[in-house]
Amino acid sequence: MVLLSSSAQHIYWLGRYLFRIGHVASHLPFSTDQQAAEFAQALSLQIDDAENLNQFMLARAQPYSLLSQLEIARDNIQELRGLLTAEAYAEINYLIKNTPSDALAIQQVVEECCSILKAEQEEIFLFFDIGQAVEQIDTYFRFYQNIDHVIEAVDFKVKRLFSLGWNDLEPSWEILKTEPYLNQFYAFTYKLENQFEVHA
Amino acid sequence: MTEQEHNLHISTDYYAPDQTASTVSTDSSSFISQLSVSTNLFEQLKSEFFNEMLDDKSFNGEASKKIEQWLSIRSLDELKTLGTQAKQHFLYQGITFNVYGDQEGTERTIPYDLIPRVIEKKQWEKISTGCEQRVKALNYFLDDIYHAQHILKEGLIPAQQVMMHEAFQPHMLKHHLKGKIYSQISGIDIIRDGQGDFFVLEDNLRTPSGVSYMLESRKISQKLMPDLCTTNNLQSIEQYPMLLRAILEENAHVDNPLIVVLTPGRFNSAYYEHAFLAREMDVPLVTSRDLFVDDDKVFVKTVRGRQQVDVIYRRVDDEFLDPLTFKPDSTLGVAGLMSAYLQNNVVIANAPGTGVADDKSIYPYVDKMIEFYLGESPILSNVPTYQCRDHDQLDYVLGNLEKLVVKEAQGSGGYGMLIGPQADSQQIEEFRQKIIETPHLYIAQPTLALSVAPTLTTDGVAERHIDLRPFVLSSPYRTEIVPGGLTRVAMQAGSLVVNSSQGGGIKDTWVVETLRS
Repeated sequence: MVLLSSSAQHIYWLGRYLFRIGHVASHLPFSTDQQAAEFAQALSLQIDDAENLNQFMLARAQPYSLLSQLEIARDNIQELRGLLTAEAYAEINYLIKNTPSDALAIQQVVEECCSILKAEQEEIFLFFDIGQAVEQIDTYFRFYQNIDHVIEAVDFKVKRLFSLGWNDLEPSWEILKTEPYLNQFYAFTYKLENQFEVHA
Repeated sequence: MTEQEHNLHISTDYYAPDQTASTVSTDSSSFISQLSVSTNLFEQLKSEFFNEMLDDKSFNGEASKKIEQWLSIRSLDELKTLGTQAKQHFLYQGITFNVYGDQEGTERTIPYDLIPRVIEKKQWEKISTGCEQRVKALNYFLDDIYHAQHILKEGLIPAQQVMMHEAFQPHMLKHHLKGKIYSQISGIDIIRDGQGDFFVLEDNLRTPSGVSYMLESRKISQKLMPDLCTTNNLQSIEQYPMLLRAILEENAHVDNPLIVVLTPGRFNSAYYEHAFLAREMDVPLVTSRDLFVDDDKVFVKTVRGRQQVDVIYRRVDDEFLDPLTFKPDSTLGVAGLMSAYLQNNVVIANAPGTGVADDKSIYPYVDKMIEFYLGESPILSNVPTYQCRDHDQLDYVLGNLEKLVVKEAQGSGGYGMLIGPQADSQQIEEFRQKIIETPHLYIAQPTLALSVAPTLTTDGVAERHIDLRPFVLSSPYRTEIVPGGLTRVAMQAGSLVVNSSQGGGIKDTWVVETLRS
């Protein structure tokens, strides 16, 4: 299999979007305004009551809603149509197209999509997995959670990228491991994004 | 469920060339019981048109009888349910297309007709040898016009008509192609007339599409009618993607070439087919963003670094291929691609400049090409064609617009066409003005009584007009054609337009080994 850089980038972003959607959906619905306001603030949203945030996240018309983000994930799937197996494409496309406006159903769709992608070729899943891990780190930073165990868990996967010739990533990854701060994280993701564009 | 819903309903819609198409409504007497239809369902569709399931004398009708029996023991509701399952299958698989100009971007599935079209093997041999002959001559023609131009010097085709043609590419002059193959993938549109004779309606040598529908219609037929498919000893078509890959490899300048499929992207109406072919051939599907040219070589960006590309199966039109050579604002092409191509560092399939041979104004000369290059008589005939650029022929066309089909020489997709017998006086007058202003842009053909085939409609089984597009694959070493092709069907009663963008549907095409009895 020849994996295009652009395909790898679509897989990576698919991983990020599905993690993000799954994470937000797992917190819905909010029952207190304070809880909602704190969550919204972490996502840079100026919404301070539970009812509005619950509705906002499930509104099809809102560009930042979970359903809109699922559509963006579906865009990535369309771009990968020549690469994924026909079965994987059809099932993910079908699941996302028919997702109801319901937090629990959205979580289930995300889980099913992830398990379908896990069965695809190893290299495809590698980039998907890295996308999920990067989004998880991003999320943990937003919510002031410790990222050490995520970094530890994803370390060997990032190192597999080095074996593909993505050695430029190594310094920024090593720095992030020793200094797990937001700036170092951004420096690493900047380098990672850059790798999708360069050609040796 | 009522009695009527249970039973098959024969609809008697038809198209008469000399009158406005009409839908003849059926009354309750047209409903027939299951028992009574079991042996003569198709017989009741007899009309003035050549019915491929009934009227073919070279055919013992064994396969068609089996299909008839299979249909007869099912109610209309059962058949409609199968049709719905087919639609759901296409939707689930994402086998959809968007119609240009449709502001809402609605995903549409192509209408699939459950009732297959049957071609007897001996008939198929005539079609396939005729198509192969035609494609060989067209490839010779392309090589000739870009090199010695014998056919132009002999005066068989007006030189100006070729050299001034907008698809003629001066960049291709004196450029040698391996095995003189310009069109690696060709789609030849074939129709049958009222006597059942085969005619070539047009050649498609640029980026002929529809092969994925051919393959998908077979898959769904096997899913919905497994018993019928196995009893008829169908010639297989599933090998097409790997055959295409092998043909592209044989056109390469190197062993074990890296092949890519170049698509304009996911918003293109044929994106599904591009992705399908890439996946089935196990080659990368790329857009312009994935490719770049360095030192007159084409590379693709992969996660393991650059890799040199040897063959590009492009589904992008000539004018967008390279912004340095053609349209400077094209974002679909690759800067420097033509330079790499002209250095023989990459193969582009089909070759740039191939379109000059499939234009409707060049089409009338294909018979002459066959005689000139191959020294043979054409196996398949052309439809008589009037060239409006010719004064005498123009006069005839203008005087007989109500009887003729007028087409844009460079048109496709069934657009820009006048079907005289179906047009009103205002449409005819509008076309008259267009033809008078730019006669060289139009050709005209007599309205043929296109053959029909039994087709499942909402009202029951009815006859509908059909055509056939076989796909011919060419390499320097061989010409291949999988048995069958894409049968397109005009789903509207009386309509002659089979294009999917205008409501046309598809049928599975069965080449079967039934011999004359």
